[in-house]
Amino acid sequence: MAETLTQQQPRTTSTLNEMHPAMQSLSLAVRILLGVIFLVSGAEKLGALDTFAHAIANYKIIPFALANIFAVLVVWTEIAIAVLLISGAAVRGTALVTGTLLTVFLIAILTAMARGLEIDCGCFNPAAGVEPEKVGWPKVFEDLALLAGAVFLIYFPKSPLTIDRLLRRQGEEGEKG
Amino acid sequence: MNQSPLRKALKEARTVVLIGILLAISFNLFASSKVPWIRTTKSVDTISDDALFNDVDTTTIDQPIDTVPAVDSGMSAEELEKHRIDSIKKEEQRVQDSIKNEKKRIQDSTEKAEKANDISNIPVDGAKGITTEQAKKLLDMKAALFIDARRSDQFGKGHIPGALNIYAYEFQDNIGKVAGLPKNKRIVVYCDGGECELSHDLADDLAKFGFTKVVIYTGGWEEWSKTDYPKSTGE
Repeated sequence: MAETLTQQQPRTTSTLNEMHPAMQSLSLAVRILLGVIFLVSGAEKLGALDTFAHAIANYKIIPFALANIFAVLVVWTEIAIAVLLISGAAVRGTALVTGTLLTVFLIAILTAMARGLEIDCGCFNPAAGVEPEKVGWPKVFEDLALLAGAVFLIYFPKSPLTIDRLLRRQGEEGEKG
Repeated sequence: MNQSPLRKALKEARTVVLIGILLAISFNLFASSKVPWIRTTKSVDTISDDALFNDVDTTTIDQPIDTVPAVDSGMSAEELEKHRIDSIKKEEQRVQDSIKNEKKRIQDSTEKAEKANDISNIPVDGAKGITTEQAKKLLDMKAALFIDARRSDQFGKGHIPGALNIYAYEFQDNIGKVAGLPKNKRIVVYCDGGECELSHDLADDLAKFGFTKVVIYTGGWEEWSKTDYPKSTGE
């Protein structure tokens, strides 16, 4: 059994290495899109951490006292995700964290809707004078679309213009030299 | 040795989370815009009855001053006519003064409204809190203007009678409404009560705008709705 698993591993890796160019381009587009969305979202929240913590507290899912810690962690995880996705480093692992984060958001939105809470979603920090986005079905579908992107990246992480590829190429050239 | 893709992905994910945690800790230790690690409810001291009710002002309009002197029954027709003209002139002067004062008040309000666009750097002392009983007494005495800091849909479902609705997150949109509020009247702001922070945010904004007689009804709608005190619905 163990021998069978060992034999299967190289085939999986090989399949991923041989991704169709169109899929690689799509992977690049999804990676950049998700990266930019998370960068904007994280940067905006960073400028108004208290407001974001306020929004988290309104969901009444985690203890009120932990809302600030959770806010800081989420914001910086979003920024880390954005930088890694845009640069193309550790794409599959980053996509896994992105998917987990989006699933948590999705559960939070759905439970808030189920409890009849008409609260600000805390998704982006709105500009002055702009009404914050509320939890609701549009937010659920938005989150599902992003989640689909993250799942796609878990299965198809290879794409051009990545730090991973650049480092690998440099390594290969180093070995040849 | 080749790692399985899943194991590699989990390892990468763990690294991403660790990077996030490290960045978060570093930021919250050293950045100027850091937040407290533990979030606490904004507590306020309750104002005493003496301080709350001693400076009650139930008027919002300047009372006209009686400037016409009493008519002496022994006056001649000529004196009566002169007296009538004097009275008219004085009344005209009073009306003109009143218009001038009102214009000045509106101009001051407008200037303050303009200044309010940059209110972030003005230091503010926290407003004091009031109890449900104190709020009810102020309502009965018509001695305060109540402002509901919740969203309009929550306000529509139920609010304290006569309350104005200014959603704390939309303060900038309501500056026109705020500029028209009487400065000499006590203002009571409230939201849901408990951990709701909208009333605190609104009280801070009002204080920055020059309203000095703002108090927070900390029990908020949660406590008021449990009493048999009057309630209103709709806009």
